[in-house]
Amino acid sequence: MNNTDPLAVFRVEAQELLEQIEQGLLDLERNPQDSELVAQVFRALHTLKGSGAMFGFEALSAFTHHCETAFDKVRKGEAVATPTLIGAVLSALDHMRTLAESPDAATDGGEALLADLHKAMEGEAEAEVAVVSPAQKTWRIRFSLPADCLVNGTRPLSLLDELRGLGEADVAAVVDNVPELGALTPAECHLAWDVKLTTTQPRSAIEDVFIFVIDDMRLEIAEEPAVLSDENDKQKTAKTPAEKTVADNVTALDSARKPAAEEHVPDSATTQHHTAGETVRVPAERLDELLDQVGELMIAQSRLKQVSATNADVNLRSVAEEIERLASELRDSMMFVRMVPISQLFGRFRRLIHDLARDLGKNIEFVTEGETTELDKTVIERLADPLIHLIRNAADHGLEMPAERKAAGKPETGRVLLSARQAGAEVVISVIDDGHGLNRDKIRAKAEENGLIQPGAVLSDNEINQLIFQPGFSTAANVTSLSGRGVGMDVVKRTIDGLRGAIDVSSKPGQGSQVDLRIPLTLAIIDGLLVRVGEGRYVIPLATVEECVELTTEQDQRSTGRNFLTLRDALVPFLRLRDMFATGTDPDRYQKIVVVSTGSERVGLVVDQILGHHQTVIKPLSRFHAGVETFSGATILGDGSVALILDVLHLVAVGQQQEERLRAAG
Amino acid sequence: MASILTVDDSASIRQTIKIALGNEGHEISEAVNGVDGLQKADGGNFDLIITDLNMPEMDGLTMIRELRKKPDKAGMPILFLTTESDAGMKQQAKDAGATGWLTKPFASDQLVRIVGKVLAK
Amino acid sequence: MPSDSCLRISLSGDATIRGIGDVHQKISSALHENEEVEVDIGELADFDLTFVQLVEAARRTATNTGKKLALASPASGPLLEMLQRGGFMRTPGGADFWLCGRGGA
Repeated sequence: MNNTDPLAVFRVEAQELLEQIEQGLLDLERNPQDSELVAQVFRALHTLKGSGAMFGFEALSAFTHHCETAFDKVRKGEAVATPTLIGAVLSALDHMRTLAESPDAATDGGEALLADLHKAMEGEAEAEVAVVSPAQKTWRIRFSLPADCLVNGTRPLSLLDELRGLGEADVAAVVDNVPELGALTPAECHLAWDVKLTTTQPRSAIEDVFIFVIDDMRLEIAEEPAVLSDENDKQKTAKTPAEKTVADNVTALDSARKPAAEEHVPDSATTQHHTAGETVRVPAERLDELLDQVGELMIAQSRLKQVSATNADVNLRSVAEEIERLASELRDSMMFVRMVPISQLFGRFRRLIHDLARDLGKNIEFVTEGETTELDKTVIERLADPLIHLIRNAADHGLEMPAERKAAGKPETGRVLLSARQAGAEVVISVIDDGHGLNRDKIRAKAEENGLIQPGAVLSDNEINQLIFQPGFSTAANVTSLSGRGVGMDVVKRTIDGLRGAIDVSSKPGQGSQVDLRIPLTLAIIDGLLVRVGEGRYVIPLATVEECVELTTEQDQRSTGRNFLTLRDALVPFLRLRDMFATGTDPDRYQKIVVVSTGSERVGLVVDQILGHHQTVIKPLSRFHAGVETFSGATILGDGSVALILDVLHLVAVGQQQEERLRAAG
Repeated sequence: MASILTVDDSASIRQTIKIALGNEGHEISEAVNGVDGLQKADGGNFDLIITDLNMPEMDGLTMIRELRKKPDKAGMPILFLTTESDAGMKQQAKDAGATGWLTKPFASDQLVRIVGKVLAK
Repeated sequence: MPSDSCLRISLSGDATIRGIGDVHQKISSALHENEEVEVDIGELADFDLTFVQLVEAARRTATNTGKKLALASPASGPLLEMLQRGGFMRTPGGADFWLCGRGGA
């Protein structure tokens, strides 16, 4: 814990801070008056500057200083977060990123950025007179501290000084709870205070004063209704905290003079806005290592189970069962640890939209939903690129220019909605725009031109929609700098395939389009149903299994040629895995059908025997076998032999094709 | 200027604290674990103790509890350093009698500010 | 117990959280045994919030038992500063008590 390289820690921290600053700025763009946001951006800039200097990133620290200065003014109400200022700091952020990555990088462009920043601030100074200073609020703060606070080293008087540092404070002690002498334990604190504070600082700054005791104390902070006339005038003269400190004949101590908003405890103060709880930062590789080890443990446990099953020793069996339980709990916890909210990912796109709107000259409203949906962290990382493509595509090709939208009777501001939700064993991420929708004629023409489909081929709407994910497909008449770049939507398909997910596209002319990415919840370990086909053993992901039924000899013979099974009045196509895998053995007398589904579509898989439930650590197939579509991976069984994992998505598709062929044939 | 005892088994952390607070004009003494910390605290009159929680011999929690048993240490601020994720650890340290905390990693100006906060009388 | 008994006690030493126990004893017994107690704090070496709280407790005890408690001289210097910082001049009767009725809050 103590031997973590401080430099590495700083780099991670710097990226997080930059991220926070960016988010804060983008939020400010919408709510320029939000003093919490201003304080948040200022704190992050301030920390970045401080830590940067501590770890030898002088260039970063010096550069950040200018942005911090600008925001300090905004914070004190001496300037306003205008779009120009926000834009200038946003541009500066990219430069700061470079400096945080390589402290000695040439500082090209840095000066131009600073010039922009200063210009933004100067414009601000001129406009200042016209500007309404950030709203001053009056808070009624009542608090009492835990009884042992004095023994534990808390100094209430310095807390009061800190409150005074925030603005105009009117402090009255409340002694109502002080007992009589006989009942008094003199080292305990029975005092309370009632403070009227007029400040431009946000509520969080008040809470920050009590940061060390806030969980154990009584603290009420209520906003007082605005007071009228002379009282108000008096407050106006109070001005900023710095100007005011000497007002009382009490000398505020140095530390108290600094507004508490600056009090910075990394994981409670700064990140509180994003994640409520505390976090430990662990390098991602360690989690991967841990997961690998959990996987190995699952395999060893499964061998132990086999050994104990054939052993008469009751003690051994009970230990084996205990270990099985613990191992599966460990696996679950492990999966849980790796889950991170998708907000981490969604946040990145706001900047993208900001830049897209500017470069394309479109008005874009970006809405996100379901940001708390959790996904495995490796999945989240891999989703970044596909989503960038989809969002770019939606903004660039989906949304119309404001004039065009107006002409079509739509609001001039287009909308891109990014949503995530969990549906069963998968997470569905949707990118929805309210633009003109996919032009299927154009897509078809382009696909024919590129030889992706035969001219005149009969394709469903969905099939046409899916064409945009084919390699080399691009409908943009003019490839813009944004969506061009030589990579097409096929990247999206490749990545989603790699995650064993699926893509659905729907579109309505004039109303917009929607792309759903359906991602299976867990990657590395799944619950599987172990089956035997011929002499081989295979794993079917349990999440896809609907039911298991027997294939009677009668059904078997009747259905030869037409592989359909009537399941509660529905025809379900089935696949004879024995035939597909060319086992060359005689079928088992009692074959079984495992009915699997992917959402609405079902298919039955005929197997020789169902062996039971198996927790499966997925090992990817070697590159050499990557082209084999029927299997999505392999796993090692308890006895050390290998079982292949069936790719249900693929098999269902095969089953559906078979159904369509047969239907077409009548 | 204050007299501060820093208790940590990591020399680099002690050094970081010493430099940061030394620059502010404070006088820094060092102890390498809870037992050492208790002895040094007994032998000196410190305005503040900054301690790690995870240490060999005697951990920080135990040391804080022992310190708070001593009447002459009443009211003396004790800050602990933590990287612990669970709120439980923080609460335990507070229950043991700590004044406040600083989360590792920290920048020196954070340390200086937090120390200023708890030293203010 | 004579009804006109008046005791002037002089507090000295440490009236901070570390020594407040002794001061507590002293004030308690003085108020217990006398109808009027005048407290001289000129000799106090050090004091903190626990001292202010103790005096507030003593004031309450005096009021509840119909006795009189007063300071020998108005608070001044560091004590006055602390009382102002802590908002103790704003408690009911606080300013009168601490300033011996000689000044507005």
